[in-house]
Amino acid sequence: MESGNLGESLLQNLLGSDLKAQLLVLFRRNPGLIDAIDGIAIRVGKKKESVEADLKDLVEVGVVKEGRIGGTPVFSLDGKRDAEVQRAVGSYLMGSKG
Amino acid sequence: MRGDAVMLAGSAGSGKTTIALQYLVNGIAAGEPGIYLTFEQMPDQIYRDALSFGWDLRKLESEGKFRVVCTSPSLLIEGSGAEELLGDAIKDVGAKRIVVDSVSHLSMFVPDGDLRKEAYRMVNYFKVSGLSSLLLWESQQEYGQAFNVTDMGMSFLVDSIVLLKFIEIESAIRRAMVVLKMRGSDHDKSLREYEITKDGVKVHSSFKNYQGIMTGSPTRVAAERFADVFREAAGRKGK
Repeated sequence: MESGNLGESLLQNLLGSDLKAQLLVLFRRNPGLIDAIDGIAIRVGKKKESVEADLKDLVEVGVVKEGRIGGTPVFSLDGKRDAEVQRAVGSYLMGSKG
Repeated sequence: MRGDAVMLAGSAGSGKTTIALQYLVNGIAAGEPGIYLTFEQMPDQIYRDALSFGWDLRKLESEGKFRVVCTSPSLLIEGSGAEELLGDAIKDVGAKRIVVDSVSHLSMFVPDGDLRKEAYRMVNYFKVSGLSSLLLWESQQEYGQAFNVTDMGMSFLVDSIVLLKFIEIESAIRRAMVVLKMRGSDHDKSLREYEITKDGVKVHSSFKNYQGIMTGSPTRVAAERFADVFREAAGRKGK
């Protein structure tokens, strides 16, 4: 996919909901955060059920990675992929300005 | 000593986090990288608090000398959670020091009676990984009562215990710290005043001429009170 198209689709996905933006901000401001879905939900003041779908979206986009501790799924920022996403979205926004 | 586990107990606002950050920053300056494991306080708040003392943790992180790990206590006690959560970070930064903020928060997630076992497992993991650890414990500040560390059932697993306490002297709140335990050492047992300055925590000399400091409401010793009476009388004569 061209970086412009990639940037546009990522931007649309990431800005699809306020909660998704809140989750993204949470992970970006706290790159050392690695937590289960309940813990992440508490940290944005929500119940587990309300963050599940948006968190999965962020995993699909790749900015958040999913791992496991014991049998529990855990989530953390994928710093490398997040930097790529930021670059793609940034260049899309710069392009759309011109 | 290297590899020791130290418990730092104190009530909210006593400066536990500041002392813990100072412990890590000083360690980095001495060539000992560190990890701050937090359950409740978010890393961005920790970065901000540290910056107010001039400690740029983000910079230390980008230099590979420091790492904040933020997680839930339930993950730490799950299976080999400590290793899975911290193993990479310990290896990446070559950590020699770790702070756990806080064991009292961890205790809320551990079934009754299991805290000692879980804390013992965690401390032993730190020891075999070559880490010196500082374990924070939020204790209640109860005026009129001395701190009884055995109530926590944790004293056996740490090598040292330092207690922070607010005390009231002449209608002002001051801070005191005391080493309650230091394994294998005839340690200083005096209560020392400390203050939180813009550069971090500064420890001063011990409180002299007061008794009952551990109760939170000390009184001047009898000899000092006599001396006060004579000083007052001398002052009146002089007028």
